[in-house]
Amino acid sequence: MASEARAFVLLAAVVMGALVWNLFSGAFSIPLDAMVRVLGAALGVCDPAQEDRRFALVLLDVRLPRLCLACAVGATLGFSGAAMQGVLRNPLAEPGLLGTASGAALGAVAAIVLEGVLTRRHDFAPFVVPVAAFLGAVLSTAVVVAVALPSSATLLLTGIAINALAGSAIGLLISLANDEQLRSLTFWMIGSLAAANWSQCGIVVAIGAVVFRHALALDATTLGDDVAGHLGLDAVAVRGRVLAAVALAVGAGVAFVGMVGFVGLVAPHLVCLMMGARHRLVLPGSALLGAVLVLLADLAARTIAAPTELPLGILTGLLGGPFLLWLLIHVGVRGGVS
Amino acid sequence: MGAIRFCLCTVMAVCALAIAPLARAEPSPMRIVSLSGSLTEIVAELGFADRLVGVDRSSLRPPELVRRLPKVGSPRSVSIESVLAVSPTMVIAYDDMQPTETLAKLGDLGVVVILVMRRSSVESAREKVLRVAEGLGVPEKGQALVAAIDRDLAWPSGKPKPDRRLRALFIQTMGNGPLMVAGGNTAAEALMAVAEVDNAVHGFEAYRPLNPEAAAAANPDVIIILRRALERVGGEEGLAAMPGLGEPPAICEHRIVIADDSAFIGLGPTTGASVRHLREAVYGR
Amino acid sequence: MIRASGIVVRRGGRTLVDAADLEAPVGKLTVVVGPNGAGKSALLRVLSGDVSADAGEVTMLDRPLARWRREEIARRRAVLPQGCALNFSFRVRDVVRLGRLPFPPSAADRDIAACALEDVGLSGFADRLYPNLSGGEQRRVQFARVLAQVADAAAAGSGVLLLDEPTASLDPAHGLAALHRAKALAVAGLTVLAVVRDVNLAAPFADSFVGMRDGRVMFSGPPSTSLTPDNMRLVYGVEAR
Repeated sequence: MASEARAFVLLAAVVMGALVWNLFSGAFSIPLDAMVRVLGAALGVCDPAQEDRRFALVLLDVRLPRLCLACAVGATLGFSGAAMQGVLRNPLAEPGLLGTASGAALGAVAAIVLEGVLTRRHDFAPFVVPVAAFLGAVLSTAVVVAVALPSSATLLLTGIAINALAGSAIGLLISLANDEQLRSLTFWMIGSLAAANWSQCGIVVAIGAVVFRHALALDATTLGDDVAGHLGLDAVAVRGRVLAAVALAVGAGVAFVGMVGFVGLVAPHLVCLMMGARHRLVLPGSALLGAVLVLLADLAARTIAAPTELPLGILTGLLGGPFLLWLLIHVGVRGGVS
Repeated sequence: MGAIRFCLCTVMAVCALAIAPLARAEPSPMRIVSLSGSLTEIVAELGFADRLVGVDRSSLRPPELVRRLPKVGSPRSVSIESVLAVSPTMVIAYDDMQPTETLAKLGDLGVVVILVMRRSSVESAREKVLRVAEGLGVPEKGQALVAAIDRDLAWPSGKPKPDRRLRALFIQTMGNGPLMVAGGNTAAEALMAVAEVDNAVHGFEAYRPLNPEAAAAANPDVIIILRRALERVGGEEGLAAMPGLGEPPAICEHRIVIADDSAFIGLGPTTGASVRHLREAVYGR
Repeated sequence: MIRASGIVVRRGGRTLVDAADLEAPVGKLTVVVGPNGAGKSALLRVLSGDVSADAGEVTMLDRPLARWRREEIARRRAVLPQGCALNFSFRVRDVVRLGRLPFPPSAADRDIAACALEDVGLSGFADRLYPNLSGGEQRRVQFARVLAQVADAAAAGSGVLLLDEPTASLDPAHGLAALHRAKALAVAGLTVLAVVRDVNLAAPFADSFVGMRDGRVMFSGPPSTSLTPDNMRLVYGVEAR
C-alpha cells in the first residue's frame, strides 16, 4: 500500500510540475511580478492594476482555460482508456476502438462539407461542427454497443468495422470537398486546444465520477461476465453504463479538441505498472497521467514552433508511441505486466 | 467496357483534332474546362462564360454560372474521364495540378491545354489574366482587364500616403482550433503590402495555425478575414470571443475587413477591387 | 439444497443436457462424474445461472433459481468456474478480495481473504502478481476467492458451493486438499456440488455420486450403491476393477 501511495504522490507532483511549467511558458511573455498581481487580483487578494490588463487577458482568458481543458481532456482520455480496458477485458483496448473518435471525425467532416446544405442560418454556424462531432461520437458508439454489448470479444471487432466504415465515409466526403472546406477539415482533424474557454472545462468531472463509481465492478468484469454474475453483478449493465459514460466524455472531448490519440492507451498501462490493476487506483491514476501527457504535449504544441502551433494529436503520438514500444518490450520481459 | 470507353475517347479525340483548325477560324465551337476557381473567374470576366462546359470544385464564382456546370474533379484530383465526358476543346489549369499525367494525356488527345503558373505575388494576377486571354485569342481584352486591375491596385493619386502603416492579421480559417493566418510569402501578405498595410505576424511562411497568445501579442490594428471563416465563428461577436482576440485595436475599433477567397487566396480579376476595398476600409481613401 | 428436474440444454443443434434430474442435499458433498462431453459442466452452468435451460426447473435453497436476485444469491452461493482468464496485473490479494464484492465492505474482509489464502496453502502469496503465477497457483487463488465468498454462508451453516473441476491442473496433494476443504464446508452445512473427472480422487470425500453420459444422468446415490462396476461401465464404457 505504501508504494501505491508513493506512486500517487509522485503522479500528483508531476501534474503540479507540468501545470506550473505550462503556466510560465507561452508565446506571450508575462513577467513574474505581473503574473502574481494578476492571479492575486483574480483571487480577490489585491486590486487589479490597469497596466496589467493585457497580461490578465492572456493569462485568464487564454492560458488558464487552456491548461484546464488540457487537464480535463487528458484525464478523460486516461480514465476512459482504463475503463475500456477493464470492460473489454483487453489490455490493448482504448477509446478509439469504440468508434468514438472516428464517429466524431465523421460528424465534423460531414458538417463542414455539407454545411451549405444543412444550415441556411448563419447564427447557428459556430455550433454546427462541435455539435455534429459530438453526435457522431455518441451515435457511432451507440451502434457499436447496440450490436455487440452481450460479448466483449464482438465489441472489439464491431468497433474495428465502424472505424473502417467511418474512415471510408470521411474519405468520400474529403473527395467531395472544395478548397475552403478542405482547409477547414484538415484543420479540425489535427486536434488543438487553442480554442479552449472556461465553458468547456466543466463537463468531464461529472462523467468521470460515474465511471469511478463502477471501479470495483470493473475489477470483477475483468474476470469475465460469468464470474461477475456469480459475484452478484450484471456485467452487461456495468459495461453498458461505463461505455455510455466513456462515449459521452470522449465525445465531448473530441468535439472540443479534435483527434488526440494514444493517451487512452498509454496512461492506464503505465499506471498499471506503477500500482497494479485495481481500478480504484488505475482510474484516478490514469486520469492524472493522462492530464500530464496532454499538458506536456500541448506545452510542446504551443511553444516549439511559436508563434505558430503544432498539431496536438501528432505530439501525443510522438510522446505516446515510444512509451508503447517500451511497454511492448517490457511485456515480453516480465510477462503479463498489463 | 474499358475497350468501348477507349474507342469512344479516341473517336472524340480524333473529332477534336478534326475541328481544331476550324475552331481557330470560327470561335463558336470552343468548349472550355477550367480547373481552378480564379481561372474560371478570369474566363468569365473575359466574356467566355457561355463557352465553359466544366469546372472543378474550387470554382465558386460567378455562382449562377458554376452552379449549373458539371464538376469534373476536386482541386487536387481531376478525373480525366470526367473531363473528357464534357468533350472540351480547351483545358485551362495551373501547372502544378495533380495528377500531372492528366494534362499530358489531354494534350495527347488533342485538347488545347493552357497552363498557368501558380505564384503568390500580385504580379501573378496580371500574368494569369494575360496568359488566359492569350490562350483564348483575345489578348486585347486581357490588356484592358489588367489595366482595370492596376487602376484599383494603385494608390489614388493626389491623396497622401498614411503617416503610420497599420498592422493587419489575415485569418484564413477558424473552427475549434487555432486561427489559420497568413505568414510571409503569401498572396494575402502581398496584397496587404500593395494596400500599404503591414502583416501583424512574422517569423513563418505560408498559412499556419497561430498560437492564441501570439495573436494577443500581435495586437493587430486590422483583421482581414475570409467571409466563410467569419460566418463559421459566428460573426464579429464570435470573433471577439476567440481566445487571444479579446481586445486588440482591430476589435475595439471595429476594423474588420471581410475578404473574398478568390481575391486573396487565388489572385484573380477581383484582386484589384479587393485591394481597393481593403484600402478604403483601413485608411478611408 | 439444490433440486433440478428435467433440465434440457441445447446448443447449436446438439443436446448437451437431456432431461437431467439431480438432487444435492444440504450438508453433503455431491460429486458429478462422467467422461468428456457428458454434459457435467453444462448442467453445472445451468445451476450457476450462466446458462438458461431450454426446459426444466431448478430450485436452490428452497426457492426457484429464477426468483433469486443476482446480488442476493451471490451472498449465499459461490461458483468456481472451469477456467478463468485474467490478463490484468492484479495482486493475488486483490483477486481474493473480489470474493467479498457481494457484501458491504467491512473490517473483517482482510482477515477473511487472508484465511482463504491460507486454506489453499498460498498465505505467502498475497502480494504476488496474479498473471505471474503458475496455472495451478492461479487455480488455487480462484478457489480462495470462492472460499472468501462463502465464508459468511459457511458461518451461518446455509448456502451453496458449485465447483467445476476444482482439482484440474492441481497436483494430487493440492487436489486432495481442495476436496478436503469442500467436504469440510459441506460438514459446516453448505450444499456442495462438484464436477470431478477422477472418481478415485473424489471417492474418499463424496457423500453422493451422480454419473452422467451423453447429457443424461445414468445413476445417482451414495458411493456404496453408485460406484458399482456396472455403473462404471455404463458411464465410462470401461471395465472397472
